[in-house]
Amino acid sequence: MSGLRRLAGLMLIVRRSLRQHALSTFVTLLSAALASGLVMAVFSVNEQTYDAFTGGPVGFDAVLGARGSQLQLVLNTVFHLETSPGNIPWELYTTIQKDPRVQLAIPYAVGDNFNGFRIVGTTEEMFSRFEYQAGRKLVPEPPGRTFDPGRREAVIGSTVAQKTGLRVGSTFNPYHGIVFDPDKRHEEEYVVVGVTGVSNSPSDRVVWIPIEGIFRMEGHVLRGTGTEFQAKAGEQIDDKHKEVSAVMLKFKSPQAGFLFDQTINRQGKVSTLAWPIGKVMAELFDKIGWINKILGLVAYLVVAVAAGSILASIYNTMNERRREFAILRALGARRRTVFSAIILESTTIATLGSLLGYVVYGAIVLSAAVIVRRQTGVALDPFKFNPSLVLTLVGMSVIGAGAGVVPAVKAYSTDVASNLVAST
Amino acid sequence: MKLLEITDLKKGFDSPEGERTLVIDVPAFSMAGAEQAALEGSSGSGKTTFLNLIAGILRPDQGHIQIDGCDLTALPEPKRDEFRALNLSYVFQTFNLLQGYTALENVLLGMMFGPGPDPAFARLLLERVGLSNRLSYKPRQLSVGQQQRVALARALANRPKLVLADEPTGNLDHGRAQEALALLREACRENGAALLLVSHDRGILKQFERVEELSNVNLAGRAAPPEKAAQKVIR
Repeated sequence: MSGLRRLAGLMLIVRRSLRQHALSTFVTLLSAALASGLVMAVFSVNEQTYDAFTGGPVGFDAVLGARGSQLQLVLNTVFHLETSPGNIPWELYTTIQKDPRVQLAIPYAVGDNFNGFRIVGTTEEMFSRFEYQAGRKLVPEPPGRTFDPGRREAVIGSTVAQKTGLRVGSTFNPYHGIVFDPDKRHEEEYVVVGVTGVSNSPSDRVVWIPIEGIFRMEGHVLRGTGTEFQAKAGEQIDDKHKEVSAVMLKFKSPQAGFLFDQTINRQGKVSTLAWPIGKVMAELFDKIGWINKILGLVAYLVVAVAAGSILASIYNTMNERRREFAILRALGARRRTVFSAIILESTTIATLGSLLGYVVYGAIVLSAAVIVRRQTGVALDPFKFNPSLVLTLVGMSVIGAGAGVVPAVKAYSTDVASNLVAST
Repeated sequence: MKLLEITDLKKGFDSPEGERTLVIDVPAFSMAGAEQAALEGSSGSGKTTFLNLIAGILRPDQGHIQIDGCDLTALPEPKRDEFRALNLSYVFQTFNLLQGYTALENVLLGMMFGPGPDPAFARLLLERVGLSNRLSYKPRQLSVGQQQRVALARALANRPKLVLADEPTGNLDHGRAQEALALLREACRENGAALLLVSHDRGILKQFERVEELSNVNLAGRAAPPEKAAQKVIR
């Protein structure tokens, strides 16, 4: 009997068995689908978040901020999460801005929000010179424009516009703090003059206003000289009073980053340079790597449960199928044929379940992408290829085959004579 | 030329007491090609065991079974399975159709382990037994008589040299039994297959030219009454 014919015969036996035990097959398929979907999602989401947070469209090489944690600095300024570690004098900004090794230095002043979206005081360079990806700038879409540094004007990110309903011409009042508290409303009214296009970066969740606006916001205190200073309307603020939360930096060469790192972090005591941003985030992922290990273990556990359910669902049919095997043997089927039929059946369930697992995977990854984007503005790529998408299918099929061994051995050892008819 | 030749065949089973109970002791039995023979045997006479030995499903303790020149007893199990698929077929009292499969699939499955599926021939066989309009019916959707006819079609699916029939009409009423028997014999003749049928139904047996008492063939059952046909042998 040729291999192809043999396979066709086995497939007929498998198809009929799956149909005959449709309910248990369906439930087992679902468990295999859940298992493989979870495994794929854990590995894929892990890789995608890692890639997105360590190599995503950040656009800056480093962040200069108050002495403290580099990670806090990056989370606060790049991803607009976490609190600010403190401020640094304006002078540090102007000094580093003038350094010939620096291509771009943009000051950030944070501390206010609108409906939970961070308000960042910055300069117009954020729109004219900053590129979040090569050749891509945060450009307000027509009919919008960038803010006038001397007016209470704002440019908002695309997600802010979508979630708050603010449009060009809308007005709003900032709220003090990074968490929305309706009791902490500032009296200053800002008008939206631009909405940036979708950048799939944390900038989509930011309300940009002139940095002067932060300095002059009611209740804000500047401590650039070490003593408190409150700006007065109509009066210019001396640079010595000014403070910034951070300075976003782009260097002309990677060597510059190394040298600044030596000067600021190793020898200096005033400020911290978070450089390179990707490495800082990678260290975060290294620190929380155990979470992924636990998630992976949970996924593997679900795979084990799925393998067990495949084994149980087929094994439970063995008693009623003894006669079927005996008939097949009487028709000339070899022991290894019925053995193979069971292995093929369990493999088929696992493989079909794994294929169905792509739906589970898609649902999990798309949900994760929505949640991550909603929380951070970072865009995952749900359709990015990950080796686990292939390896899980292969692995589940092998596990399915393994799960079929015990019932297959039972089928293999079926006694033909006693299971056909009662022997006389 | 002899198609089936059995010599000095013995088969026993272990009893719960640990004794070996001899149930088959056939010094000699033979059939010619395309011959149709019937064995008369009552319940407990070892007739199913005898047929299972000829089919190669069971292995004898000693002796030889030659079918078409091939010593079945010398073959390892996988080869016996292959030989059975290519040369023999079995018709059971309980039909032994696979319930999840259609009539056509049952016949095709009979071919699967032999020369391979031949859908056209499978259809022809089912047409021959009058079931051309029941190809896609599953056994539970068929009458008892129709199920037996599917079993007949399956038995002939691989163009066997020898058809073994174990009380093939035992579950049918008299009319259907006669009809099924006639069909079986005719189909075997048409396909050049020999037929060895065992039955205790005199109405069936009298239609065969060659009828043998199983107790004359199988000496293991001679000394004891039918219900205690087995001859005990101390190990």
